[in-house]
Amino acid sequence: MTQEELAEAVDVTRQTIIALEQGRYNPSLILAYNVTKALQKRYIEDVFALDEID
Amino acid sequence: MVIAKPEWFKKKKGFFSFEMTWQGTLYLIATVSLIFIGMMLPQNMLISLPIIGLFLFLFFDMIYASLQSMDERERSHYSIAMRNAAWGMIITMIIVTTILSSFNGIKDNLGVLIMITAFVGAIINFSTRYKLEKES
Repeated sequence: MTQEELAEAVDVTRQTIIALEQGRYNPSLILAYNVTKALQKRYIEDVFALDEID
Repeated sequence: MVIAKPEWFKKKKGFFSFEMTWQGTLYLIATVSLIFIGMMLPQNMLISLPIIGLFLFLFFDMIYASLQSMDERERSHYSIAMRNAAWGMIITMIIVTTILSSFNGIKDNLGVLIMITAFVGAIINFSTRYKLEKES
């Protein structure tokens, strides 16, 4: 799946997908869930990871 | 949102490449042209007030529709930009009002005050969004 296709699937811009990939933007829970679904993964942790937990 | 639809102002690519539809372009032209119509018509409260009211209505309707067309990241950028612009406009208004009142009064230069404040707000808004877009 291309960035463009993923962006369209979750209704955001391609820039937002790029920012997500590069870890420069923390998505909302809804966006994280939508991206997980679009990538056909089961859990949000399969796509996103927290580097540090305070 | 009453008239304008979010898809008219849908942003598809980067910061500069707005893909505005013809409806969005027409809406923007109609809104901006009200300023010029208001300037050309005689300065009468009965004429000016409905035009100002219509302009404000269309302007905020367009802003609301544009916000609906943004995704969550862009919306957060927009919020930060608007906050910065609001602070900049408040400071500008205070400075310009102080300068004008110490010279020849603001009553005759109200248009200048509004123009300068709006210009500063637009510059701050644009530059903040540009900076945030570059950073993320």
